[in-house]
Amino acid sequence: MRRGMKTIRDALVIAWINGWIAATRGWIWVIGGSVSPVSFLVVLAIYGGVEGLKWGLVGGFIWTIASNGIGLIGDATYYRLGIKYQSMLAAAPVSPAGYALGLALSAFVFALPTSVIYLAVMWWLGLWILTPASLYALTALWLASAGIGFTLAGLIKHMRYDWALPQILSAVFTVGAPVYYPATHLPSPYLGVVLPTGAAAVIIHDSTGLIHYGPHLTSAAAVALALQSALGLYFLFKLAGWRQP
Amino acid sequence: MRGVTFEAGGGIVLGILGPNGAGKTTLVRILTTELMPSEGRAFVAGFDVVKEPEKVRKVIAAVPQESRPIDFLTPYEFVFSYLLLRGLSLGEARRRTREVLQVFGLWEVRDREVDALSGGMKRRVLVAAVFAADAEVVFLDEPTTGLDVYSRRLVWNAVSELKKRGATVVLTTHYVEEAAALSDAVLVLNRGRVVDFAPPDKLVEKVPGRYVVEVYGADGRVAEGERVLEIGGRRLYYVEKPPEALSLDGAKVVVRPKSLEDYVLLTVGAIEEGEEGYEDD
Repeated sequence: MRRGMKTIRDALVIAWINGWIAATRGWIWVIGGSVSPVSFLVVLAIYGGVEGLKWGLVGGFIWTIASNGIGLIGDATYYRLGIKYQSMLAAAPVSPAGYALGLALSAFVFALPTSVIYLAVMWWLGLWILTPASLYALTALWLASAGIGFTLAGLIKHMRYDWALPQILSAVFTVGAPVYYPATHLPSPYLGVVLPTGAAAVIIHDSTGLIHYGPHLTSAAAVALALQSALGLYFLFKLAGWRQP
Repeated sequence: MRGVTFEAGGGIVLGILGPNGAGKTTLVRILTTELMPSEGRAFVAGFDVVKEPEKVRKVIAAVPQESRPIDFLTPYEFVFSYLLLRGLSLGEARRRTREVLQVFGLWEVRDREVDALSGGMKRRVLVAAVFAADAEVVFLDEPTTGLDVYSRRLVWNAVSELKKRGATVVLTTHYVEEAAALSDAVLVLNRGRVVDFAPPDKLVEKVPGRYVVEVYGADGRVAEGERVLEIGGRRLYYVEKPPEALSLDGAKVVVRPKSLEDYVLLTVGAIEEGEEGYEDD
Protein backbone atom coordinates (compact mmCIF):
# COMPACT_ATOMS: atom_id res chain seq x y z
CA MET A 1 0.00 0.00 0.00
CA ARG A 2 2.75 2.42 1.06
CA ARG A 3 4.83 1.44 -1.95
CA GLY A 4 1.84 2.00 -4.23
CA MET A 5 1.31 5.49 -2.82
CA LYS A 6 4.99 6.31 -3.34
CA THR A 7 4.73 5.12 -6.96
CA ILE A 8 1.72 7.36 -7.56
CA ARG A 9 3.42 10.30 -5.86
CA ASP A 10 6.59 9.83 -7.94
CA ALA A 11 4.51 9.60 -11.11
CA LEU A 12 2.73 12.85 -10.24
CA VAL A 13 6.00 14.67 -9.50
CA ILE A 14 7.49 13.54 -12.82
CA ALA A 15 4.28 14.46 -14.61
CA TRP A 16 4.38 17.89 -12.96
CA ILE A 17 7.92 18.70 -14.08
CA ASN A 18 8.03 16.85 -17.39
CA GLY A 19 4.41 17.41 -18.36
CA TRP A 20 2.86 20.50 -16.83
CA ILE A 21 5.97 22.70 -16.55
CA ALA A 22 7.39 21.52 -19.87
CA ALA A 23 4.10 22.04 -21.70
CA THR A 24 3.37 25.46 -20.20
CA ARG A 25 6.91 26.66 -21.02
CA GLY A 26 7.10 24.98 -24.41
CA TRP A 27 3.80 25.40 -26.22
CA ILE A 28 5.58 24.68 -29.48
CA TRP A 29 5.82 21.00 -28.49
CA VAL A 30 2.11 20.83 -27.76
CA ILE A 31 1.39 22.30 -31.18
CA GLY A 32 4.07 20.12 -32.81
CA GLY A 33 2.45 16.98 -31.45
CA SER A 34 -0.91 17.91 -32.94
CA VAL A 35 0.28 18.91 -36.41
CA SER A 36 0.34 15.47 -38.06
CA PRO A 37 -3.08 14.30 -36.83
CA VAL A 38 -4.61 17.64 -37.77
CA SER A 39 -3.14 17.53 -41.27
CA PHE A 40 -4.73 14.09 -41.79
CA LEU A 41 -7.97 15.54 -40.48
CA VAL A 42 -7.89 18.36 -43.02
CA VAL A 43 -7.19 16.01 -45.94
CA LEU A 44 -10.01 13.69 -44.89
CA ALA A 45 -12.42 16.61 -44.47
CA ILE A 46 -11.57 17.90 -47.96
CA TYR A 47 -12.06 14.55 -49.67
CA GLY A 48 -14.69 13.00 -47.42
CA GLY A 49 -16.83 15.91 -46.27
CA VAL A 50 -18.49 15.60 -42.87
CA GLU A 51 -18.13 11.82 -42.89
CA GLY A 52 -14.42 12.14 -43.65
CA LEU A 53 -14.12 14.76 -40.93
CA LYS A 54 -15.61 12.31 -38.40
CA TRP A 55 -13.12 9.61 -39.37
CA GLY A 56 -10.35 12.17 -39.20
CA LEU A 57 -11.41 13.31 -35.75
CA VAL A 58 -11.60 9.82 -34.30
CA GLY A 59 -8.34 8.79 -36.00
CA GLY A 60 -6.62 11.98 -34.89
CA PHE A 61 -7.78 11.49 -31.32
CA ILE A 62 -6.41 7.94 -31.26
CA TRP A 63 -3.17 9.08 -32.88
CA THR A 64 -2.77 11.87 -30.34
CA ILE A 65 -3.08 9.42 -27.44
CA ALA A 66 -0.77 6.82 -29.04
CA SER A 67 1.86 9.21 -30.35
CA ASN A 68 2.27 10.83 -26.99
CA GLY A 69 2.81 7.45 -25.37
CA ILE A 70 5.35 6.61 -28.03
CA GLY A 71 6.73 10.12 -27.80
CA LEU A 72 8.05 9.46 -24.30
CA ILE A 73 10.89 7.66 -26.06
CA GLY A 74 12.44 11.07 -26.60
CA ASP A 75 12.15 12.14 -22.96
CA ALA A 76 13.24 8.80 -21.51
CA THR A 77 16.29 8.63 -23.78
CA TYR A 78 17.23 12.24 -23.12
CA TYR A 79 17.02 11.78 -19.36
CA ARG A 80 18.97 8.52 -19.47
CA LEU A 81 21.67 9.28 -22.02
CA GLY A 82 21.57 13.03 -22.54
CA ILE A 83 21.66 14.52 -19.06
CA LYS A 84 21.94 11.40 -16.85
CA TYR A 85 18.90 12.45 -14.83
CA GLN A 86 17.75 8.83 -14.70
CA SER A 87 21.10 7.85 -13.13
CA MET A 88 20.56 10.51 -10.47
CA LEU A 89 17.13 9.10 -9.68
CA ALA A 90 18.44 5.52 -9.79
CA ALA A 91 20.65 6.46 -6.85
CA ALA A 92 17.66 7.66 -4.81
CA PRO A 93 14.59 6.10 -3.23
CA VAL A 94 12.55 6.81 -6.36
CA SER A 95 10.11 4.23 -7.68
CA PRO A 96 11.24 3.23 -11.18
CA ALA A 97 7.68 2.35 -12.09
CA GLY A 98 6.56 5.75 -10.80
CA TYR A 99 9.19 7.38 -12.99
CA ALA A 100 8.03 5.46 -16.08
CA LEU A 101 4.35 6.12 -15.39
CA GLY A 102 5.17 9.76 -14.71
CA LEU A 103 6.77 10.08 -18.12
CA ALA A 104 3.70 8.47 -19.68
CA LEU A 105 1.45 10.78 -17.70
CA SER A 106 3.45 13.82 -18.75
CA ALA A 107 3.04 12.74 -22.37
CA PHE A 108 -0.69 12.68 -21.69
CA VAL A 109 -0.50 16.23 -20.31
CA PHE A 110 1.00 17.28 -23.65
CA ALA A 111 -1.88 15.59 -25.48
CA LEU A 112 -4.59 17.19 -23.35
CA PRO A 113 -5.11 20.54 -25.16
CA THR A 114 -5.33 18.83 -28.55
CA SER A 115 -7.60 16.14 -27.13
CA VAL A 116 -9.97 18.72 -25.68
CA ILE A 117 -10.27 20.45 -29.05
CA TYR A 118 -10.95 17.10 -30.74
CA LEU A 119 -13.59 16.27 -28.16
CA ALA A 120 -15.27 19.63 -28.59
CA VAL A 121 -15.45 19.30 -32.38
CA MET A 122 -16.66 15.69 -32.11
CA TRP A 123 -19.37 16.76 -29.68
CA TRP A 124 -20.37 19.53 -32.09
CA LEU A 125 -20.70 16.96 -34.88
CA GLY A 126 -22.74 14.67 -32.63
CA LEU A 127 -19.97 12.12 -32.25
CA TRP A 128 -19.85 11.00 -28.62
CA ILE A 129 -16.55 9.25 -28.02
CA LEU A 130 -16.63 9.14 -24.22
CA THR A 131 -18.49 5.85 -23.97
CA PRO A 132 -17.34 3.21 -21.47
CA ALA A 133 -16.00 1.04 -24.32
CA SER A 134 -14.07 3.95 -25.85
CA LEU A 135 -12.70 5.05 -22.50
CA TYR A 136 -11.46 1.51 -21.90
CA ALA A 137 -9.86 1.50 -25.36
CA LEU A 138 -8.17 4.87 -24.86
CA THR A 139 -6.82 4.00 -21.41
CA ALA A 140 -5.52 0.63 -22.56
CA LEU A 141 -4.02 2.25 -25.65
CA TRP A 142 -2.26 4.83 -23.50
CA LEU A 143 -0.78 2.12 -21.28
CA ALA A 144 0.22 -0.08 -24.22
CA SER A 145 1.85 2.76 -26.14
CA ALA A 146 3.64 4.01 -23.02
CA GLY A 147 4.94 0.50 -22.40
CA ILE A 148 6.16 0.24 -25.99
CA GLY A 149 7.71 3.70 -25.72
CA PHE A 150 9.54 3.00 -22.49
CA THR A 151 10.67 -0.44 -23.66
CA LEU A 152 12.12 0.94 -26.86
CA ALA A 153 13.70 3.88 -25.03
CA GLY A 154 15.60 1.39 -22.87
CA LEU A 155 17.07 -0.23 -25.96
CA ILE A 156 18.36 2.97 -27.55
CA LYS A 157 22.12 3.32 -27.21
CA HIS A 158 22.61 6.72 -28.83
CA MET A 159 20.64 9.92 -28.57
CA ARG A 160 20.56 10.36 -32.34
CA TYR A 161 18.11 7.46 -32.76
CA ASP A 162 15.48 8.85 -30.44
CA TRP A 163 14.36 11.51 -32.92
CA ALA A 164 13.67 9.16 -35.83
CA LEU A 165 12.14 6.20 -34.01
CA PRO A 166 8.94 7.89 -32.75
CA GLN A 167 8.24 9.21 -36.23
CA ILE A 168 8.56 5.76 -37.78
CA LEU A 169 6.47 4.17 -35.04
CA SER A 170 3.76 6.82 -35.31
CA ALA A 171 3.45 6.16 -39.03
CA VAL A 172 3.36 2.37 -38.58
CA PHE A 173 0.88 2.56 -35.71
CA THR A 174 -1.52 4.95 -37.39
CA VAL A 175 -1.31 4.20 -41.10
CA GLY A 176 -0.44 0.51 -40.78
CA ALA A 177 -3.39 0.01 -38.44
CA PRO A 178 -7.02 0.88 -39.30
CA VAL A 179 -7.10 4.13 -37.37
CA TYR A 180 -8.30 6.50 -40.07
CA TYR A 181 -10.11 3.88 -42.15
CA PRO A 182 -12.35 0.88 -41.41
CA ALA A 183 -10.73 -2.42 -40.54
CA THR A 184 -12.86 -3.96 -43.30
CA HIS A 185 -10.40 -2.45 -45.81
CA LEU A 186 -7.79 -4.96 -44.67
CA PRO A 187 -7.56 -8.48 -46.20
CA SER A 188 -9.02 -9.69 -42.90
CA PRO A 189 -10.50 -7.20 -40.41
CA TYR A 190 -8.93 -9.24 -37.61
CA LEU A 191 -5.50 -8.07 -38.82
CA GLY A 192 -6.61 -4.67 -37.57
CA VAL A 193 -6.30 -5.69 -33.92
CA VAL A 194 -2.64 -6.74 -34.17
CA LEU A 195 -1.41 -3.28 -33.22
CA PRO A 196 -2.84 -1.52 -30.14
CA THR A 197 -3.86 1.54 -32.16
CA GLY A 198 -5.86 -0.69 -34.52
CA ALA A 199 -7.48 -2.60 -31.66
CA ALA A 200 -8.44 0.65 -29.93
CA ALA A 201 -9.73 2.07 -33.20
CA VAL A 202 -11.94 -0.97 -33.85
CA ILE A 203 -13.59 -0.52 -30.46
CA ILE A 204 -13.97 3.25 -30.84
CA HIS A 205 -15.23 3.11 -34.44
CA ASP A 206 -17.88 0.64 -33.35
CA SER A 207 -18.74 2.42 -30.13
CA THR A 208 -19.17 5.83 -31.76
CA GLY A 209 -21.27 4.36 -34.54
CA LEU A 210 -18.87 5.21 -37.36
CA ILE A 211 -19.13 1.59 -38.47
CA HIS A 212 -20.52 -1.56 -36.87
CA TYR A 213 -18.08 -4.42 -36.94
CA GLY A 214 -20.12 -6.90 -34.96
CA PRO A 215 -19.46 -8.46 -31.57
CA HIS A 216 -16.77 -10.94 -32.70
CA LEU A 217 -14.32 -8.35 -34.01
CA THR A 218 -14.90 -5.86 -31.18
CA SER A 219 -14.46 -8.64 -28.60
CA ALA A 220 -11.26 -9.73 -30.30
CA ALA A 221 -10.09 -6.11 -30.24
CA ALA A 222 -10.91 -5.75 -26.53
CA VAL A 223 -9.01 -8.93 -25.66
CA ALA A 224 -6.06 -8.00 -27.88
CA LEU A 225 -5.90 -4.54 -26.34
CA ALA A 226 -6.03 -5.96 -22.82
CA LEU A 227 -3.12 -8.27 -23.65
CA GLN A 228 -1.17 -5.49 -25.35
CA SER A 229 -1.60 -3.10 -22.44
CA ALA A 230 -0.74 -5.86 -19.92
CA LEU A 231 2.37 -6.64 -21.98
CA GLY A 232 3.19 -2.95 -22.21
CA LEU A 233 2.85 -2.57 -18.45
CA TYR A 234 4.92 -5.68 -17.83
CA PHE A 235 7.79 -4.36 -19.93
CA LEU A 236 7.38 -0.90 -18.47
CA PHE A 237 7.76 -2.21 -14.93
CA LYS A 238 10.41 -4.76 -15.84
CA LEU A 239 12.58 -2.35 -17.76
CA ALA A 240 11.96 0.41 -15.26
CA GLY A 241 14.01 -1.50 -12.72
CA TRP A 242 16.81 1.04 -13.13
CA ARG A 243 19.62 -1.43 -12.99
CA GLN A 244 21.46 -2.30 -16.16
CA PRO A 245 22.87 -5.78 -16.65
CA MET B 1 36.57 -4.16 -12.77
CA ARG B 2 38.85 -6.98 -11.70
CA GLY B 3 39.60 -7.96 -8.11
CA VAL B 4 38.71 -4.58 -6.67
CA THR B 5 38.68 -4.86 -2.86
CA PHE B 6 38.63 -2.00 -0.38
CA GLU B 7 36.78 -0.86 2.72
CA ALA B 8 36.22 2.75 3.69
CA GLY B 9 34.85 3.92 7.03
CA GLY B 10 31.86 6.20 7.49
CA GLY B 11 32.07 9.99 7.66
CA ILE B 12 35.09 10.32 5.42
CA VAL B 13 35.81 11.65 1.96
CA LEU B 14 36.98 8.83 -0.27
CA GLY B 15 38.72 10.09 -3.37
CA ILE B 16 38.81 7.79 -6.38
CA LEU B 17 41.62 8.65 -8.73
CA GLY B 18 42.62 7.19 -12.03
CA PRO B 19 43.08 8.02 -15.68
CA ASN B 20 40.32 7.85 -18.29
CA GLY B 21 39.13 4.29 -18.57
CA ALA B 22 40.39 3.30 -15.11
CA GLY B 23 36.95 2.10 -14.01
CA LYS B 24 36.00 4.96 -11.68
CA THR B 25 32.55 5.49 -13.14
CA THR B 26 31.90 1.78 -13.46
CA LEU B 27 32.67 1.38 -9.77
CA VAL B 28 30.38 4.27 -8.84
CA ARG B 29 27.58 2.91 -11.01
CA ILE B 30 27.84 -0.47 -9.29
CA LEU B 31 27.86 1.11 -5.83
CA THR B 32 24.87 3.32 -6.65
CA THR B 33 22.94 0.20 -7.79
CA GLU B 34 22.68 1.38 -11.37
CA LEU B 35 24.89 -1.31 -12.84
CA MET B 36 24.71 -5.00 -11.98
CA PRO B 37 28.15 -6.46 -11.30
CA SER B 38 28.86 -9.69 -13.14
CA GLU B 39 30.39 -11.13 -9.98
CA GLY B 40 31.63 -10.16 -6.54
CA ARG B 41 29.97 -8.36 -3.63
CA ALA B 42 29.75 -4.77 -2.55
CA PHE B 43 28.21 -3.10 0.48
CA VAL B 44 27.23 0.52 0.92
CA ALA B 45 26.32 1.70 4.44
CA GLY B 46 26.09 -1.97 5.39
CA PHE B 47 23.64 -2.92 2.63
CA ASP B 48 24.36 -5.34 -0.19
CA VAL B 49 24.13 -3.45 -3.49
CA VAL B 50 23.01 -6.59 -5.34
CA LYS B 51 20.56 -8.06 -2.84
CA GLU B 52 19.31 -4.92 -1.11
CA PRO B 53 19.28 -2.18 -3.75
CA GLU B 54 16.20 -0.46 -2.33
CA LYS B 55 17.81 -0.14 1.10
CA VAL B 56 20.97 1.23 -0.50
CA ARG B 57 18.98 3.81 -2.51
CA LYS B 58 17.37 5.17 0.65
CA VAL B 59 20.72 6.16 2.12
CA ILE B 60 22.61 7.38 -0.95
CA ALA B 61 22.52 10.32 -3.32
CA ALA B 62 24.59 10.85 -6.44
CA VAL B 63 25.65 13.38 -9.00
CA PRO B 64 26.50 11.19 -12.01
CA GLN B 65 29.32 11.95 -14.39
CA GLU B 66 28.38 14.45 -17.12
CA SER B 67 24.95 14.96 -15.61
CA ARG B 68 23.03 18.19 -16.07
CA PRO B 69 19.87 19.53 -14.45
CA ILE B 70 16.73 19.55 -16.61
CA ASP B 71 17.15 22.70 -18.66
CA PHE B 72 13.59 24.00 -18.74
CA LEU B 73 13.19 23.86 -14.96
CA THR B 74 14.35 26.56 -12.58
CA PRO B 75 16.93 25.71 -9.89
CA TYR B 76 14.11 25.89 -7.34
CA GLU B 77 11.92 23.46 -9.26
CA PHE B 78 14.77 21.05 -9.90
CA VAL B 79 15.88 20.82 -6.27
CA PHE B 80 12.31 20.86 -4.94
CA SER B 81 11.13 18.08 -7.26
CA TYR B 82 14.22 15.99 -6.50
CA LEU B 83 13.47 16.22 -2.78
CA LEU B 84 9.82 15.34 -3.37
CA LEU B 85 10.93 12.31 -5.37
CA ARG B 86 13.11 11.31 -2.43
CA GLY B 87 9.98 11.23 -0.31
CA LEU B 88 10.22 14.47 1.65
CA SER B 89 7.02 16.26 2.63
CA LEU B 90 6.06 19.41 0.73
CA GLY B 91 6.91 21.68 3.66
CA GLU B 92 10.25 20.06 4.37
CA ALA B 93 11.17 20.02 0.68
CA ARG B 94 10.35 23.73 0.42
CA ARG B 95 12.38 24.56 3.53
CA ARG B 96 15.44 22.59 2.42
CA THR B 97 15.25 23.92 -1.13
CA ARG B 98 15.30 27.50 0.09
CA GLU B 99 18.13 26.77 2.52
CA VAL B 100 20.34 24.94 0.04
CA LEU B 101 19.87 27.48 -2.75
CA GLN B 102 21.03 30.17 -0.35
CA VAL B 103 24.04 28.10 0.72
CA PHE B 104 25.06 27.52 -2.90
CA GLY B 105 24.58 31.12 -4.00
CA LEU B 106 21.65 30.20 -6.24
CA TRP B 107 18.82 31.97 -4.46
CA GLU B 108 19.03 35.05 -6.69
CA VAL B 109 18.59 32.89 -9.80
CA ARG B 110 16.04 30.50 -8.29
CA ASP B 111 13.33 31.48 -10.81
CA ARG B 112 15.55 31.55 -13.86
CA GLU B 113 15.46 28.56 -16.20
CA VAL B 114 18.52 26.34 -15.83
CA ASP B 115 19.18 26.73 -19.55
CA ALA B 116 20.06 30.38 -18.95
CA LEU B 117 22.59 29.64 -16.20
CA SER B 118 26.36 29.29 -16.56
CA GLY B 119 28.00 25.85 -16.58
CA GLY B 120 29.22 26.36 -13.03
CA MET B 121 25.78 27.30 -11.77
CA LYS B 122 24.22 24.29 -13.48
CA ARG B 123 26.65 21.99 -11.71
CA ARG B 124 25.97 23.73 -8.43
CA VAL B 125 22.25 23.07 -8.90
CA LEU B 126 22.98 19.34 -9.11
CA VAL B 127 25.27 19.34 -6.10
CA ALA B 128 22.76 21.47 -4.17
CA ALA B 129 20.00 18.93 -4.80
CA VAL B 130 22.15 16.08 -3.52
CA PHE B 131 23.36 18.20 -0.62
CA ALA B 132 19.78 18.91 0.44
CA ALA B 133 18.94 15.21 0.39
CA ASP B 134 20.96 14.72 3.57
CA ALA B 135 22.03 11.24 2.48
CA GLU B 136 24.34 8.98 4.44
CA VAL B 137 26.61 8.29 1.47
CA VAL B 138 27.03 10.81 -1.35
CA PHE B 139 28.61 9.93 -4.69
CA LEU B 140 30.04 12.78 -6.71
CA ASP B 141 31.35 11.56 -10.05
CA GLU B 142 33.70 14.21 -11.41
CA PRO B 143 31.59 17.06 -10.06
CA THR B 144 34.10 19.78 -10.85
CA THR B 145 35.10 18.88 -14.39
CA GLY B 146 34.97 21.99 -16.53
CA LEU B 147 34.20 24.34 -13.64
CA ASP B 148 35.95 27.64 -13.06
CA VAL B 149 38.12 27.98 -9.97
CA TYR B 150 35.41 29.81 -8.01
CA SER B 151 32.66 27.28 -8.73
CA ARG B 152 35.07 24.47 -8.04
CA ARG B 153 35.73 25.80 -4.59
CA LEU B 154 32.03 26.10 -3.88
CA VAL B 155 31.75 22.39 -4.65
CA TRP B 156 34.75 21.72 -2.42
CA ASN B 157 32.99 23.60 0.38
CA ALA B 158 29.95 21.41 -0.13
CA VAL B 159 32.08 18.27 0.12
CA SER B 160 33.65 19.51 3.36
CA GLU B 161 30.24 20.46 4.75
CA LEU B 162 28.81 17.03 3.88
CA LYS B 163 31.68 15.44 5.77
CA LYS B 164 31.10 17.74 8.71
CA ARG B 165 27.50 16.54 8.82
CA GLY B 166 28.76 12.97 9.10
CA ALA B 167 28.12 11.86 5.52
CA THR B 168 30.54 9.69 3.61
CA VAL B 169 31.48 11.28 0.31
CA VAL B 170 32.77 9.22 -2.58
CA LEU B 171 34.45 11.62 -4.96
CA THR B 172 35.84 10.62 -8.33
CA THR B 173 38.02 13.18 -10.00
CA HIS B 174 40.68 13.73 -12.62
CA TYR B 175 42.11 16.54 -10.56
CA VAL B 176 44.76 15.12 -8.28
CA GLU B 177 45.08 18.30 -6.25
CA GLU B 178 41.34 18.11 -5.60
CA ALA B 179 41.62 14.56 -4.28
CA ALA B 180 44.64 15.57 -2.18
CA ALA B 181 42.86 18.57 -0.71
CA LEU B 182 39.59 16.88 0.12
CA SER B 183 40.15 13.17 0.65
CA ASP B 184 40.81 11.28 3.85
CA ALA B 185 41.61 8.20 1.79
CA VAL B 186 42.38 7.77 -1.87
CA LEU B 187 41.59 4.75 -3.99
CA VAL B 188 43.80 4.71 -7.05
CA LEU B 189 42.44 2.69 -9.96
CA ASN B 190 43.96 1.79 -13.27
CA ARG B 191 42.55 -0.44 -15.95
CA GLY B 192 39.88 -1.81 -13.64
CA ARG B 193 42.26 -2.75 -10.83
CA VAL B 194 43.20 -1.19 -7.51
CA VAL B 195 46.67 0.32 -7.67
CA ASP B 196 46.68 1.61 -4.10
CA PHE B 197 44.37 2.59 -1.26
CA ALA B 198 45.69 4.86 1.48
CA PRO B 199 45.48 8.41 2.90
CA PRO B 200 46.91 10.95 0.44
CA ASP B 201 49.98 11.78 2.59
CA LYS B 202 50.87 8.07 2.81
CA LEU B 203 50.73 7.85 -0.97
CA VAL B 204 52.94 10.91 -1.32
CA GLU B 205 55.46 9.32 1.04
CA LYS B 206 55.95 6.58 -1.53
CA VAL B 207 57.32 9.10 -4.02
CA PRO B 208 61.15 9.12 -3.87
CA GLY B 209 62.97 12.30 -2.78
CA ARG B 210 61.36 15.44 -1.37
CA TYR B 211 61.37 17.77 -4.33
CA VAL B 212 60.64 17.58 -8.02
CA VAL B 213 62.63 19.39 -10.68
CA GLU B 214 60.45 19.54 -13.75
CA VAL B 215 62.33 20.46 -16.92
CA TYR B 216 60.93 20.96 -20.40
CA GLY B 217 63.00 21.61 -23.50
CA ALA B 218 66.48 20.67 -22.29
CA ASP B 219 68.71 18.04 -23.88
CA GLY B 220 70.38 15.43 -21.73
CA ARG B 221 70.18 14.85 -18.00
CA VAL B 222 70.31 18.12 -16.06
CA ALA B 223 70.07 16.84 -12.48
CA GLU B 224 70.74 13.72 -10.49
CA GLY B 225 67.49 12.42 -9.13
CA GLU B 226 66.54 9.36 -7.13
CA ARG B 227 64.19 8.70 -9.98
CA VAL B 228 63.61 10.35 -13.34
CA LEU B 229 60.35 10.28 -15.23
CA GLU B 230 60.14 11.18 -18.90
CA ILE B 231 56.92 12.38 -20.45
CA GLY B 232 57.62 13.39 -24.04
CA GLY B 233 60.10 16.27 -23.97
CA ARG B 234 59.55 16.78 -20.24
CA ARG B 235 61.70 15.28 -17.50
CA LEU B 236 60.81 15.06 -13.83
CA TYR B 237 63.71 14.58 -11.42
CA TYR B 238 62.83 13.39 -7.93
CA VAL B 239 65.51 14.83 -5.64
CA GLU B 240 66.19 15.20 -1.91
CA LYS B 241 67.30 18.82 -2.17
CA PRO B 242 66.36 21.41 -4.76
CA PRO B 243 69.35 22.27 -6.98
CA GLU B 244 71.06 25.54 -6.07
CA ALA B 245 71.48 26.73 -9.62
CA LEU B 246 70.14 25.48 -12.89
CA SER B 247 71.09 27.41 -15.97
CA LEU B 248 69.37 25.97 -18.99
CA ASP B 249 69.05 28.10 -22.08
CA GLY B 250 65.49 28.18 -23.37
CA ALA B 251 64.33 25.41 -21.07
CA LYS B 252 61.37 25.74 -18.76
CA VAL B 253 62.24 24.70 -15.21
CA VAL B 254 59.94 24.33 -12.23
CA VAL B 255 61.12 23.22 -8.78
CA ARG B 256 58.38 22.19 -6.35
CA PRO B 257 57.74 19.87 -3.42
CA LYS B 258 56.55 16.40 -4.38
CA SER B 259 52.79 15.86 -4.36
CA LEU B 260 50.06 13.31 -4.88
CA GLU B 261 50.24 14.11 -8.56
CA ASP B 262 53.76 12.70 -8.63
CA TYR B 263 52.55 9.52 -7.01
CA VAL B 264 49.92 9.16 -9.74
CA LEU B 265 52.45 9.95 -12.46
CA LEU B 266 54.90 7.38 -11.17
CA THR B 267 52.46 4.57 -10.45
CA VAL B 268 49.65 5.00 -12.92
CA GLY B 269 51.00 7.19 -15.69
CA ALA B 270 48.75 7.69 -18.64
CA ILE B 271 46.94 5.01 -20.55
CA GLU B 272 48.59 4.79 -23.90
CA GLU B 273 46.73 6.42 -26.67
CA GLY B 274 44.23 4.06 -28.27
CA GLU B 275 44.42 1.55 -25.48
CA GLU B 276 41.07 0.25 -24.39
CA GLY B 277 39.60 1.50 -21.16
CA TYR B 278 37.05 -0.11 -18.92
CA GLU B 279 34.54 2.65 -18.44
CA ASP B 280 31.53 2.26 -20.63
CA ASP B 281 31.25 5.96 -21.11
